[in-house]
Amino acid sequence: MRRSGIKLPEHIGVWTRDDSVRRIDAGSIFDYMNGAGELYLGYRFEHLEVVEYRAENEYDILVEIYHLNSPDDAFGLLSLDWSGESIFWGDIHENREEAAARAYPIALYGAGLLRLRAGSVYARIMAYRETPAAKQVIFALGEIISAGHPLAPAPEIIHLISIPDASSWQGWWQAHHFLRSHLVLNSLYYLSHVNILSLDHDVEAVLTRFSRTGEGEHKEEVTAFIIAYPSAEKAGEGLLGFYRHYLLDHESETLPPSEVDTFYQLEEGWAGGGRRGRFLLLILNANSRLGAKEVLDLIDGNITQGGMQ
Amino acid sequence: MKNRRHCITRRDFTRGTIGAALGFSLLGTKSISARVDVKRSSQVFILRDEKVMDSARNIETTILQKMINETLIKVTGEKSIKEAWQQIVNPEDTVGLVPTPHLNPTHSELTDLVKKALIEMVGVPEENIIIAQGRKGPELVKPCTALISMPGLKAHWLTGIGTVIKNYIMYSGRPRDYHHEDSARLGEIWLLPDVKNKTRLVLVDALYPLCDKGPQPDPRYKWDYKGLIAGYDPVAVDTICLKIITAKREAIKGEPWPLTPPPICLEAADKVYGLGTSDMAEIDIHALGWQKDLLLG
Repeated sequence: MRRSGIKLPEHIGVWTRDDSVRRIDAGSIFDYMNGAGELYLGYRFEHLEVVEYRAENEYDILVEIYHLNSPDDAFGLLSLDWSGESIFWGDIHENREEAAARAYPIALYGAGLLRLRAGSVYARIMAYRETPAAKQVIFALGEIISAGHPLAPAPEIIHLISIPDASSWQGWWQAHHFLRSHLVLNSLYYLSHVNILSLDHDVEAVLTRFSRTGEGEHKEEVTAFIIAYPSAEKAGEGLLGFYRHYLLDHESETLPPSEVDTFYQLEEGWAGGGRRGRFLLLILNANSRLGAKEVLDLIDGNITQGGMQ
Repeated sequence: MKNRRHCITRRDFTRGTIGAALGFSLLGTKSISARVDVKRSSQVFILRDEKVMDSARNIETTILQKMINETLIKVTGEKSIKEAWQQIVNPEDTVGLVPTPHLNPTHSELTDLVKKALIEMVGVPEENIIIAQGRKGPELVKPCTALISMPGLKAHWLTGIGTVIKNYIMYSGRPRDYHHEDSARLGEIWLLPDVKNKTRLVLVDALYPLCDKGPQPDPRYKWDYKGLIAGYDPVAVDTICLKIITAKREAIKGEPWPLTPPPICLEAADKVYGLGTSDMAEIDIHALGWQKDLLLG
């Protein structure tokens, strides 16, 4: 058994950790967690360290430390579910309000489970039963794991969904999800069991929703999915896959996909999109063609302004 | 181009054409002509007892025993628990108990009590009762002449629902295939020669279910349902499980919170593989015992 790369205390509160650290790699992850392993493999998983803390008259505390390829991957895992108590600590501890205003949470807590991102590490610390003592220890372990990792910014592609002050559209950070895998996409927004957009480790993607309140308090919503491919050619393949499989009934009029943005009214609203260099911009479930076009233009503007194309 | 394989998409689900899309997508499967001989009673029994777990969620085995007995008598329609178990299995059977090992594991107390009943009520030798689950699933299921599926009630991040139909995934010997494009095909595993027609009872552990998809346990989405859900029809039982999970998710969010991906495997289990019914109109629900927050309204 190897020892953990992150030094965890032998004793904390009344808990004592196992002497050994269980190390899980891509080859053994399914033995450890069955199909859940697909999630971590979808985020450029390197390895996992598992430590258990035990105490008399208390339930065990499980610590799972996932080592990933980049801070973006750790951000992505946390972004799957932003609900829970938002936690800020470490190097921004002293200016919590400012941190809350400008950054995504570093950790989230609820019912005995703390999830956190720290550099390229994502961790889950879970008490099998939440007690005040267990919660205190969970937070202490979270701070230890986070220590030494500078606050990582959100993935760059997230900036593409920022909304200008003058816009009538609104967004909220709890709806921002960073991903690279179609399985993860399906767990957030089901598109197809088949990987029709050719997502893989080489892409960066963000899924989000925009909304605005129009006349008569009518709420308008749009789902946007932006993918950065490694090349314009790959983005073109992604667009082709979307048209061929998702817009099957419009196939004859859309193939080959035009560089001009096209939207179609489908069962759940307007959908469509276009390619901008190596970026694929997809709009889904829009209440109107106009709304779909506005959101796409908003993202387009962010690409141009950011010089990302 | 026109002969290209149609892949199932969100639009099929929204249009309600999953059945047709599945038939098209899964062309080539031999399943439609290889349906399982299910006792299509489409009756599902839910038995709950508020006192089956204490405040620390320790199982009160005496109460759980009573719940099992009552459930078995209702499912089989027999007069005594001994006759009920004897309807399910024979003393000569090699019985595979199939609990859930991960995410929301089946309580070992439930598995132990079922095993004890098989020994004491039916006379199945202890060595002929095996836990037929895990990586060695294909080897373990082979000698079984009877299976009792005992999954924990849970959602699943790859298949929407991960309770009954998904419980045999390890018998495929290639579980990862079913994480991807083949996840709608989970029902075909029930038709494998070593699996087909062996399931005598579906008994779901709904004591402390998990209503979010995971992929790992999040205690915020677990709750005390304190129930057992049982029947002969695996699809009908899974359909009721899905209904409970869906209702709980809505209760948590205060608005519709559909599972994603949608549980396409369930509809396929019915319409493509003929394992049972996923149509609520065809399912008789019998809810017994504790009625609070039944989540079947």
